[in-house]
Amino acid sequence: MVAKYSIVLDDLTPNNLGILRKINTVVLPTSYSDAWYKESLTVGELVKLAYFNEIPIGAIRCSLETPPSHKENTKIYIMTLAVLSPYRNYGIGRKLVEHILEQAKIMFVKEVYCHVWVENEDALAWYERLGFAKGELIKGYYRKMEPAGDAYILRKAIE
Amino acid sequence: MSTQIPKSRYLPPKEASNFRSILKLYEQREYKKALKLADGILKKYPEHGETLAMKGLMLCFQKKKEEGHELIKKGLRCDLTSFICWHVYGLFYRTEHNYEEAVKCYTHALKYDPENTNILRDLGLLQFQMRNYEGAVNSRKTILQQRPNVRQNWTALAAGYYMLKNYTMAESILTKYEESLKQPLPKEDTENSELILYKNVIIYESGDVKRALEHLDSISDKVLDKVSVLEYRAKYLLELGRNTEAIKVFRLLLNRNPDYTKYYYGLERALAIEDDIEKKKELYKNLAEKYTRSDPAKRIPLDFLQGADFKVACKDYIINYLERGVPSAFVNVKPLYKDADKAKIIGEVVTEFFCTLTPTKGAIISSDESGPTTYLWTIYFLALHHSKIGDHDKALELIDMAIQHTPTLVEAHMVKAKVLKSKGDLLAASDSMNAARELDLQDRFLNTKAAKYLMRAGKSEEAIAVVSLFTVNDAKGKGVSDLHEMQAIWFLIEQAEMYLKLGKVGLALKRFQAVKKVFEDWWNVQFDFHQYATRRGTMRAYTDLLKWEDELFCEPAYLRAAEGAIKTYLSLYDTPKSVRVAAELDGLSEEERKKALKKAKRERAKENKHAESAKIGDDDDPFGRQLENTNTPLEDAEAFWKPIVNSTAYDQSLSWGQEIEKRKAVAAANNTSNDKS
Repeated sequence: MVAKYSIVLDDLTPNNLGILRKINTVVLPTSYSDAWYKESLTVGELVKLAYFNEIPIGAIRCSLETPPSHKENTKIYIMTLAVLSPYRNYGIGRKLVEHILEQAKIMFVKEVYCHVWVENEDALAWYERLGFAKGELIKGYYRKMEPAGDAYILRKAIE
Repeated sequence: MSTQIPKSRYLPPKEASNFRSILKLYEQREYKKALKLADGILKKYPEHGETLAMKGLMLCFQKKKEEGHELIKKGLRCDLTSFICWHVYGLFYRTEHNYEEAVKCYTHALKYDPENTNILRDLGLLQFQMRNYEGAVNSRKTILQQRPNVRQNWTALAAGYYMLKNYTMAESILTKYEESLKQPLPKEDTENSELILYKNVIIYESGDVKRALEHLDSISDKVLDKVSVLEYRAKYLLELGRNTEAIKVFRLLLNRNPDYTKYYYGLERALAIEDDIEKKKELYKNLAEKYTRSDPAKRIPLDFLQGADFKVACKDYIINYLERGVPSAFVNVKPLYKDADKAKIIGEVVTEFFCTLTPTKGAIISSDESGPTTYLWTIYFLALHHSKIGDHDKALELIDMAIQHTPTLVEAHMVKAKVLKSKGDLLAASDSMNAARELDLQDRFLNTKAAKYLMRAGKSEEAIAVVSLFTVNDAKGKGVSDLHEMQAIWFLIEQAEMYLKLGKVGLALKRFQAVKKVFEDWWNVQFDFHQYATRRGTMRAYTDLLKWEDELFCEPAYLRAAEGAIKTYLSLYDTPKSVRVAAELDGLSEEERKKALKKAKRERAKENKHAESAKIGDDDDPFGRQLENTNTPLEDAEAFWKPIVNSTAYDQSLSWGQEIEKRKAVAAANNTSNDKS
C-alpha cells in the first residue's frame, strides 16, 4: 500500500529560523536564547527541519563536541528533538535521529548522545529502540524543575 | 515665393556641413560630439536658430532641461520659419509628455516643410497617442505615398483606418501590400504571420463572419499562432451556426488545454446544451473522467447544479482538495457563496466531513492516511467559511484550533489576521500577520501583507521597517523611495489612507499624487509602442494595449486613490485652513489657546528637524505641506477626476467626483452674483 503522505528533511536557513523557534517553544519545556538560535545556523547538517506533506512540524538540533585532548572522542550531542504532537508516530523523530547517525558516520564521530529525564519512560524506551544505551545518571540535571529532575545519558556508539 | 534662405539661417559651406553632421550625430545619440560642433558654429553665428535649437534639445537629453528649454525657445525666436526649430520644439514637448503642445509644434513645422517624412511620422505617433485617428490617417497616407517600399508604413496606415472602424480600407491596405510581394514570405516571418492574422480579425470585426472563416482556412498553414487559428475557427463556426464542426474544434482545443474554462463554455454552446442541466451533467462527467487533473471539469458543474446534486458534487470536489492539502480549496468555491443556499450546503458538507476526522494518527474512519494535515486543512476551510458568512467569532475559534494543532502553518496565522481585521481589531490582526511573516522571512508576499496590516493599524514606522527588508534602501535604510520607483501602488495607497487616518493630510496628498503619477507614467509609456508594435507587425496585441490604456484610469486602484484625494481636496475647499484652525481653537480659554499654539509650533519645529531625513531624493516638500496649503483645491481635485471621465470605461455612478461639479457651479453662481452687485 503506497503511503499517501510525504516526510522530507530540509536545511535550516536564516529565513526559516522562526520555524525552529516555534516548534521548540511549543513542544519543549526548556527555552533557548536568541544566541542559541543564531548558533543553530552554524552547525550545518547537525540541524534539520522535518516536513510532513510540505508543512514543517519537527526539528532536531545538535552540537559537535570536540574534546580538548586527543585521547577523548569527538561526540555529537542532541540538544533538542521535537515533533508537533499531531504528527507523532509517523517515524519522523526516527528519521531525524537516523540522519544525525548518518552524519556521525560521515564525520568519523564515534558517539552520539543525549539527556533524558528519568521519569520519561516513553522517551527512554524510544531511544533504546533506536539502539541507544542507558548510561550514567546525572542527579539534578534539570535545575529548573521543582524538585530538580535527574537525567540519564543515552549513548549510541557509531561503528 | 522666395526660395532664398533667410539671412538668419544661412551658413557658409564649412559650417553648413558641420550642421548636417550635428543632425547625423544626434540621430546616433552622439551628443557630446554634436555639442562640440554646435558650439563651434555658435561662436561665429550666435544667432543661428537651428543650431541653438539642436543644442538645446541635446542639453535636455543630458539632464540640463531648463537650460535646454531656454535655448530651444531662443533658437525658435531667431528663426520662426524653420521647420527644424519647430520640429525640435515639438520633440521637446513630446519628452515632457505635453502631447497637445507637441502636436501644435509639429503642425507648424509641417507648414514650412510639408513633405518631411520624419515630422510626419512623429506627428502620426502623436496623433495615435492623442487618439486623433483621422489626423493619423492623413499623416500616414502622405508617408506611404513617399515610402511605399517599407511594410511598416502600410501597417501604420491600416492601423489608423482600423481604429476609425473603417474596416474596408484597413483590409484593402493590407491586401495591397500582400499583392505587391513577388514571392510569398516564409512561415517563420513573424511580422507577416501576425499581419495576416490581423487582417483576419479586421474581416471578422467588419461583420463578415463567413468571409473571415474562408480567409482563416486559406491562411491557417501560413501562420505561426496555431492556438489563435483554432480559437478563431471555433468562434466563427459557432457564430455561423455550424455547430457540428464547432464541436470538433472545441474538443481539439480542450485536448490542448483542459484547464481553460472558455473552451468548456464554448463546447456547451456548440452542443446547444447551455440550458440543459442533465445533458451538461453528463458532459462534465465524461470530461472529468477524460481529463482527471482538470479543475474546471469538476468546478463548472458547481455553478449550474442545485440542491441534492450540488451537495454530492461539491462534497466530492472540496474533500478531494482537503485530502490533498490544497490551501486554495476555499478560494475556488468562494464565488458560489453569492447563493445563500449553496453557502449553507458547503458548510454542512465540510462540517460533516470534519466530524469524521481525528486530529492525530490513530482511529481514522476514512482510509486516508494523511490524517493530521487533512484535519488541519479542513479546520482551515471551516474558519474561512464562517468568516465569509459573517460569523467571525466562530471563525476565530476554529483558526485558533488550527494554530494550536500546527502552529508552524503560515496560512493559519494569515487567516487569523484576516478574521481579526474583519472584527475590527487591527492591532491584534497585525500581530498575527507578523507571526506568519516570521515563519518565512524569504516570502515577499507575506512581507507585503504584514506591512499592509501594520499600516492599517496605523504603525507607520514599523511598516516601513518591515517593507524595507526587501527593497533597495537609501542611506537611512528605508525603502520608501524604492517603492515609488518600483511603482508599488499598493504601498502608496495604503500609506495615503493611513496618513489620512492619522490626520497627516499633507503626506496623504503626497502619496495620492504619487499614485496619480504612476498611472500617468503608464499612460505615457505607451508612446513607444505606436512605432515599435507597428514595426514588428504585432497589431492584435497592440490594439489590445490601446484598449487597455483607454480604460486605465478606471482601474480600481486609481479610482481608490482618486476618491481619497478628491474627498480630501473637497474637504480642504469646504473648510479652508483659517476656519479649521479657528474651529480647533474655538471654545478654548486664552491660556489653553496659547498652549495649543505653542504645542503646534513645537511640533512643527520637530518636523522641520526631521525634514532632512524624511526627504525622498531631492524632494522639496517632504511633508506635503505645499499640497495641503494649496490655493486651488478644486482644480487639484479635478486633475484627478478628469482622466476618469475621459476614460472609455467611465461609470456614471461614481458620485464623489460629481461633487466637484456641484461646487464649481456654486462658485460660478456666487461669482456672477458678485459681479452683479
